[in-house]
Amino acid sequence: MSERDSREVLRDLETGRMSWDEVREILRQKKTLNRFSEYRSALSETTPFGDRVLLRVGEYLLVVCEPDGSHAVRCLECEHDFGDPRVNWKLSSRVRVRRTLEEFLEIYLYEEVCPEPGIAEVREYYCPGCFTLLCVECVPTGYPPMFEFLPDLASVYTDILGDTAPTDPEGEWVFEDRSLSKVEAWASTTTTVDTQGAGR
Amino acid sequence: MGLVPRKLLGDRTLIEQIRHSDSLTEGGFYHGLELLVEREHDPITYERFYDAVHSAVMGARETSKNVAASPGARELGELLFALLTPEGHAVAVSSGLVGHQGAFRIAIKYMAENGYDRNPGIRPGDIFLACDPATSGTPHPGDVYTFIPLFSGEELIGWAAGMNHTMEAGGSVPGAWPPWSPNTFTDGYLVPPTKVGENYEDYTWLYKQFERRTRAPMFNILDEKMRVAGCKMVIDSVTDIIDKFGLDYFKATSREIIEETRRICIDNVKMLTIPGRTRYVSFRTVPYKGIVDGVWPQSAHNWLLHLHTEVQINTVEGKLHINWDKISPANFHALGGYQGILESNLWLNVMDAIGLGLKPNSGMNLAVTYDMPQGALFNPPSDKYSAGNPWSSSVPLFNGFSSGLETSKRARGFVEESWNADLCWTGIQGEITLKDGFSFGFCQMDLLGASATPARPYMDGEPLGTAWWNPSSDTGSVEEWEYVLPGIYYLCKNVLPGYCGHGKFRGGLGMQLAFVVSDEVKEAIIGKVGATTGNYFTGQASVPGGSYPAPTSTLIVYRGTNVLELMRNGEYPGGIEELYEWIDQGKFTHKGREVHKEEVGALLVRPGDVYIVVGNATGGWGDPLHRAIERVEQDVKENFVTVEAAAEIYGVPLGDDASGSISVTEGAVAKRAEIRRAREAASVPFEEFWRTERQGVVNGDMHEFVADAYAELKGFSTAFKQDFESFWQLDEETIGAEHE
Ligand SMILES: [Zn+2]
Repeated sequence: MSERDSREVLRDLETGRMSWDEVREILRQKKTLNRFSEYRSALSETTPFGDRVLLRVGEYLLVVCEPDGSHAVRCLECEHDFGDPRVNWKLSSRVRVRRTLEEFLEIYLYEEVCPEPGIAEVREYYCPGCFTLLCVECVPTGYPPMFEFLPDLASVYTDILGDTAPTDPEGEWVFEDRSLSKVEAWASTTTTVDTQGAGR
Repeated sequence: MGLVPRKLLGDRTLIEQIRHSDSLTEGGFYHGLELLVEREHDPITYERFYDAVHSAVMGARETSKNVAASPGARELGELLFALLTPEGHAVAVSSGLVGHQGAFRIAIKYMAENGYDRNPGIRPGDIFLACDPATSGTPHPGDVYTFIPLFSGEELIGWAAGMNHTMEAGGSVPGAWPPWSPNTFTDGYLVPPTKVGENYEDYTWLYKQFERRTRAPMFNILDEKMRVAGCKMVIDSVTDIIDKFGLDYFKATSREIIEETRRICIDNVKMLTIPGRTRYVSFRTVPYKGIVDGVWPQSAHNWLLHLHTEVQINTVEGKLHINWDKISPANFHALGGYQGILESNLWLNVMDAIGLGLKPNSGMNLAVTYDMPQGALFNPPSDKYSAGNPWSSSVPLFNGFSSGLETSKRARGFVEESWNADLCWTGIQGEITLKDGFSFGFCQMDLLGASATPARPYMDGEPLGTAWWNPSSDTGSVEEWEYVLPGIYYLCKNVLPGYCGHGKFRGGLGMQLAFVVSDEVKEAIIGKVGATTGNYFTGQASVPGGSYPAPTSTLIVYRGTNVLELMRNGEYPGGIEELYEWIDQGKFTHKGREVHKEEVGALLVRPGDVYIVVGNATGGWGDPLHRAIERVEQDVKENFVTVEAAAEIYGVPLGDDASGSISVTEGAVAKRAEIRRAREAASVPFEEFWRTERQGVVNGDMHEFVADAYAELKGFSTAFKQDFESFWQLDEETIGAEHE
């Protein structure tokens, strides 16, 4: 793939309008190390963030480099800001919890293949800005949300992009799960705030 | 001083050779191969050599299964042949049940550790059989491995290995994956690695053991003959190859082929993934209370298994490490296992996730590291634990590994290579006793050989499209199954509309099969197992595509129906929908209906009973409200999705649901806006959810199944305990205080 072609190819692939024959051609092609930059160019053309796109962490969620040099997870439909990629973005989303058979039947249609009410709950995580469905979880009641993907941005910059490592206001960017910082803040207050579900 | 062991490998015994090779591998390169000398010196000869050994194992597979074999091997291709190094690493494998190559070396190591080279001796033409998961690497009781040593003169230079999934394993309940089995003694006829023949001929006693200890002796004996025939073919072909290429070349190049594959895996991690951490989870239930505990009191429990997989991805070194520190402990049920099931699954998932452009062999197992804690589900405290049905739990566990890599590959931009990785299967097994007294055990593997493919970021999953553990699998023909399972008639075999995880791209639709027990049958026992049996949950808890995970599988039994009578009158349902119409009209009568989401080991069925098995659906990708309108219309036209689901899930009102005055597109725009408003109304900010859900946790407001599982996990896994308690901000004091 030449760079220009590959951008178009990747863009067309993600619209889902390629024939299976065309997809198979792409599947057979030799993979190359420059794919990441090709994909970033494709994303910069098709999302509102231009060159600030770093990488995709979900169907509708991108890690974006903010003007101040920090990084945030943002909705590519409405640009909603979910905050630091090291904090599970689900903590900045809106949640609908399905608990009853009636609610399960709306999505799984047949009682015999539904999750079991009382044991399982189905959580739908929405973008607070545009109410796009971002993730679904079927878990036991009381199960903490999964943090599916925590990318190591320092390694992405230095090892894949050959760039300098990102920094934090406090200095070196550290690869660690910081979801608890948010939870601890909630625990220290007793009433519900942040009804907009804004991330930062 | 004792006897001097026979030195099979020049100056080393077999165990000395394994330790020698392992110590060379510890440096990072397989067998210490820092340089691929033969490959670099003459790549053309190197590739010709690989092609020759690969053809040897492929030829063995294609010929032997037609010489003798059970329908699982012949129809579905559930078999495998391989050429192994003396230490048991696979150099080349046939197509078929490819994952097992990762487990072969466990049986070889067991024979070495126990001095088999001295007693009973390892000689040309000897046949070794192994089917005990704790000692042999075989994942579950129905998998049987056969090994024949490859010699050059006096020197052991490798092994031919053959395996297949047999039809019946002689366990507590009939079939090859007993789901009701509390310990190893109820798993079936399990044989640790044993010499079962010489001069390429099985001892008579082996067949007598199959006759006495399993419920499908005829098929099991045929399968052993197939494995021996295939191994003999591998020995003969490889002996010719050695004549042509030379012994030294054979020894050096076989190992280079393994190291080459390992290196390609490492390079693929560097090229295809984004570094970081992924976590995916799934849940399975094992309800034994009131069923199994009548005889086995240690199993008086309902378990909820926590199948949590963390993958640490390092793109600098190309390393993948799997951390299973939050998995459930082993217990007295059939859904645990030993190292072999891990190595088999690992191989399959490495193949799917990063196995591009390589020669499939044991180099893939060497490319990934993992920690399975002592006492955990797949590293039990002793060899007395059951490994009856471990694919049911290990497939979702490893789906967590692949889901992580799929997420990471997509982030790197390899859109075409990523998918939901929520792979699934369903199987029916049992025993039929005909009126003439003849009885036989079976695995009915239609659904095993053909699962739906998962959704991808650019296309829907397809029904019946894959059996990812077996690249050359097949669903088999109905006629063949009716022929080998006399007494069971097919009523219908259809995809089930709307039975998938919905999404912008939806999962592949699952299947529905209906059977009736015929008048030839005195009585029969059926059971259901599988890895779509999320039981009380979805297939995976969440999927890379972010949309709805796959619905679970189920078994429905109608007792005492009039279907045989209708059939005698020349009436036969044209499909599952017609069958349901008959039920609604009262034309189909029955005396009772049972639904089993859980895995069941033994249900007694009689002539006229109908059973319906539903399974093999996969999950969706992206928001269903983003699905192209014409795709929704097409789905409705093809009866893949109902009119109601098109309107309520996809926001595309059609047919009677559409308003006559506006176009489908206008109707969809309005309906989708309405659904988004409904989402807003039905949802809360996460913080609010955290407060209410936390209150439930603090109050202990949850089902016994779940409460017991959390208690068990907190007792076994400090990592789980820490995560759980810190996320909900719990400590003994707060729980006590808030209770008051
Ligand atoms: Zn949004």
